[in-house]
This record gives sequence, structure tokens and C-alpha cells, in this order.
Amino acid sequence: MIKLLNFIVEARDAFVLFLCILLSSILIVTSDKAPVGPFRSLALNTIGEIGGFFFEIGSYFRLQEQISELQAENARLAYENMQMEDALLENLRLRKLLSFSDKSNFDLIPAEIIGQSPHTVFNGLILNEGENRGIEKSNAVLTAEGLVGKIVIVEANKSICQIILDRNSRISAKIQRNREQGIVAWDGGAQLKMLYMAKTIDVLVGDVIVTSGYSQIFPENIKIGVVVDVSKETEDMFQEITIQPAVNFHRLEEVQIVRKEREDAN
Amino acid sequence: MPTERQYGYLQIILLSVAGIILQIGFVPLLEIGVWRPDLVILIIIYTGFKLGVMPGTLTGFFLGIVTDLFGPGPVGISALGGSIVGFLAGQLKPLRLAYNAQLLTGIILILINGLIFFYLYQLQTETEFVYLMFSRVFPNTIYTFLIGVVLSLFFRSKLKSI
Repeated sequence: MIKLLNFIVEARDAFVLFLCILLSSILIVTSDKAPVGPFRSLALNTIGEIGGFFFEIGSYFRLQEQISELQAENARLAYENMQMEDALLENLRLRKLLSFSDKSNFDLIPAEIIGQSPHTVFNGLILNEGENRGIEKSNAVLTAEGLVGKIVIVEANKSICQIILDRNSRISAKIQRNREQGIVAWDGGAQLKMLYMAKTIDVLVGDVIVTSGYSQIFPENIKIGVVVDVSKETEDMFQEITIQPAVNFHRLEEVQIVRKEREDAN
Repeated sequence: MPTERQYGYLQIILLSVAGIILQIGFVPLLEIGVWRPDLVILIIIYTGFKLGVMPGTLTGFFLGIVTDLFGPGPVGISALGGSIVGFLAGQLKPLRLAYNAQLLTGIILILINGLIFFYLYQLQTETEFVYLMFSRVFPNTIYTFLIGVVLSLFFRSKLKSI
């Protein structure tokens, strides 16, 4: 016993390293479990407040530019809205004729981005809204440009969004033009790829990829990106499709969190 | 009157808090494409060089945990690489390396951390590790090293005394 203790004392540095490696491995496997939660909550709330303070300072200097951009966007959207209202009314009329039930819009919660995940791979956004606004795990996150990701961690006043450029991201999607289905995943860089698209399926550069609606998480027809490259020179039966995300993740300052989808039965 | 060692611990704690905040809020502004520097690993290496094996290992472990807490992925990935790199950096303390040797070993340690992190990160994905090595690990290592060189020019006198 004394020999063992002497050995541990002499090799304490290696022993501590071994313990750290062991604890890290256990945490990797059990990350979602209770021991991690309170520390995550404390870290998010503490650093989140400080990060939010710096964010507000930075955003003050961008106000004038933002106002100009928003005014132009507002004018464009107002015009588009008028066009779409006509189309919606006609759609409702026709659906009523066919006795389809009416699915209304989402309940959107705006949230500001107060920081990004500190890893060298950008895969997460720290948001300044949480459980207190009714946000839950797996709520979809989007902007006017398109799909951003989903909420993976929620605390009282903060939450973390996993963006679609992440190793765990898998999105059920379809090509808007011909409704062909596939799975969109991260390609390891700054783009996405569409998986399981047979070589016989017609995919063109410029095709818009949207969410399919089959997922419990992402509502239907949220823009994911645009096809920028198609290659059929692969060894297996699937073609390689590269997608440029619709959202510019480097210029994100605000997002919208989908709280729930309201359904009004007709 | 705090001893030099206690002063060193305090310095590391303050550096760590500042490093985490800067990594979350400021480093994204330095991003070039998908590449960004890692201030946290620089702090871990500095701790190992300055204070030795035990502080380096534990700083690497705890800073890695804190880093992971702010991300959507599993907790522990950064801690694993951080504790190994902190341990290795601490092993070099008795050698009292010259400034140039510190920079050389620093880039090797940054590379080791990147390899461990991205190897664990890409498990259970279709992304090839070799692709991530060339598209992420090597560029991030060089970028982090360059930021480390710039920072070391300001703290060169401190590094010489290590």
C-alpha cells in the first residue's frame, strides 16, 4: 500500500493527466446528463451577460448602416407582401373548395446573437433568449435569408443554437423545383452537401434546397441553400451535390426562433 | 505578500477569463473564411511553460471544459486535447527554452491540440479526417501561431523569464 502511494506521489503528474483524460472521456459520452447542466447554466449566464454588453457596444456603431439596409428591405418586402397576399387568398379559397385544413404561420421569437461557440470550428451561436420566452430544445432557428439551425441547449435567459454547418446536423430536405427528397449535411468546410440522391435524379446548379417538412423540428419550405455543384463522377450510386447555405453566418446579428407552429383547423 | 507562484496563478486565472470572453466575442471578428485562432490553447501552453506540469494539465482540462460548455457539441472534447497539451508544455518548463525554441514547440503543441480535437469532432460523421486536417487543422494552427507570435512580442520579457 505504501509502495503504491509512493508510486502515485512520484508519478503524480502522469496520474493527474490520466485522470483528466479519463474524466474527459466520461464527459464526452455523458454530455447530456445532469452533472454538466448546472455548470453550463452558470457559464452561459455569467459570460453571456458580459458578452451581451460587448455586443451592444459593437452594434451601436452599425446602427446607421443597419437602418439604411432595413429601410430598403422593408420597401421590397412590402411590395412582395402585396403580391403574396393575393396569392394566399386565392390559395385559401381553393383549399376551402377542396376541404383542406389551413396551416398558419409560425410563432417567431427574435433573439440577438451575443457570442459564438469558442471552438476553432464555428458551429454554435449563443443567443440572449431562453426558457423564459418559451424556447425549448430542438426549436428551429431561422432568418429572412433561410435556415440557421436548431436550439440544442436552453437555459433560463440564454440558449445555444447549433448551426447547420455542424457535424451533427442532418436536415430532411427537398429540391424546390421537382420535390426530390434528400438529406442535407455539413461538408466539413463552409458548405453543405445533399446525401442519398441517386444519379438518376435530375439536379441542376441553381436549384433551391428547402426543408421537406417531414422533420419534427424544421417547418416546411424554409430555404436551406442553393446548389452550386453537381458531380456524377462518384464510385457509388449517389451523385455529389454541393450546396451554398442561404444564410451568411458571418454577418448574423439577429435570428428568429420558431416557438411553435400554430394550426388552425378549417 | 503573495509569492511569485501565487501571483502566477492569479495571472493565469485572469488570463483564462479574459481569453474565454475574447474567444467568444472578439475572435469571430478575426475569422478568415472558416479559419479562426484559438486563444485558449495559447493560454494553456503559456501556463505549462510558466508554471509547470500540474498547473498546465489542470488549466488545459478546466479551460477545455469551459470552452465546451459554450458550444453545442459534447463536453470534454476540448478538455482532452487541452490537458494533454498542458501536460506536454509543462514538461518543457525545466528545459528553460530560448524564445525561438518556445515558438517552435508552441506551434507543435497547437498542432497536437488541433489533431486531437478534430479527430474526436469528426467521429460519427461522413467527413474525412484527412480533409479536415488540410482544411481546418493546419490553417487554424498557423493562424493561432501567428496570433501567438504577435502576443508574445508584447509579453516577450515575461517569456524570457520563464
